[in-house]
Amino acid sequence: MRFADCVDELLAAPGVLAALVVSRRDGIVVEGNGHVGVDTDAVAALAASLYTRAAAAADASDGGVPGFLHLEAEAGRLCIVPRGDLLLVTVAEPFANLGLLRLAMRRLIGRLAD
Amino acid sequence: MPAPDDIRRWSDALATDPASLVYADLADALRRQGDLDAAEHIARRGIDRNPGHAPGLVVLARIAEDRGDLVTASEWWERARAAETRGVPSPAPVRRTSGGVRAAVRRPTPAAPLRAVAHGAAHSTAHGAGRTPTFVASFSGSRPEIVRSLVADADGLLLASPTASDDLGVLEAMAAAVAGVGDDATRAATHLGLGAWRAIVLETSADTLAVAPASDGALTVLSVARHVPLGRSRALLRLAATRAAADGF
Repeated sequence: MRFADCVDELLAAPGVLAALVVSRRDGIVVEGNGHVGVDTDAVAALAASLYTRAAAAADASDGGVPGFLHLEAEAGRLCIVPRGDLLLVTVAEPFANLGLLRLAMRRLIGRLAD
Repeated sequence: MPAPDDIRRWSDALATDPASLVYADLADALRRQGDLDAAEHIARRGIDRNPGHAPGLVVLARIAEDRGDLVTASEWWERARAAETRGVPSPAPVRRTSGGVRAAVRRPTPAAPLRAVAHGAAHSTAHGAGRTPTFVASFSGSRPEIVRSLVADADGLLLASPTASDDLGVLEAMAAAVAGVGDDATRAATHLGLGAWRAIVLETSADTLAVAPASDGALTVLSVARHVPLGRSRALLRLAATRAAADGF
């Protein structure tokens, strides 16, 4: 599956404001798109930083391989799924269905390399 | 487990004086015996008469927890915390130990039942504190799905943990590692216009890490067993955060 197709499919989901494929190591956008007003470069950098920190914290706790991350905030959500050196990132409205978004992101990240 | 004599004594006291505050002791004793319906009936009747009575609100929170209704439990805990804040003029004094573990020393005031009544016999805390904070008392051993739980301060030092049997080194490593997560979450939420952040949940192949903000940059942290559904992990986090807030974190 192409990165752009993955991004488009996520952006079509209700409440999703931005969808990106991000380089985990340096926080740079590999492919991405978002609604007007969403700074995708900032999303990529902040998401990569947050994910790296959270994964380190999880490693201190259990040593497991990190997977889906969800940041819940007053006015929206940030969701991240890893695959190798890539992160699939979405920014969504608070009303977005988290369960559906999580399933879609896990399904799509698995198809990225296909 | 309460003695039958205690239950009889409290029942008699309540029959003699329906406005008596012993209803909270009686309801909690019945709860610990597993008679949740009777416990809730008595606790609700007591709260109807004494709406701001924190020990009664705590018992209702624990009854809801025992029923598995974490949302309702959180609401009762929130009311209990608000009631205690109104009822106790000054917070418990706080001391710091050399290990960075904060331990609050509660004076034996009449307000103490918020912790004491709700949890019955005193639980020993993980780090030798002289009281039984709600966060500590409620997340120790009774919830096998929670692998570890702790409160860490903004500097990455361990403030509290109920997991007495756990390795202190692991808890301190978690506290240190998670401090930066709170900073990054704040930065991301602020920069992206998402407002204040409420929770981070990270699934791993081993378990789920759940983090919520507490006061003064502190964080409430749970490590939840992998088999626990994500929604329940989040509900447990809310509950833990409410409990930590009730403890003043």
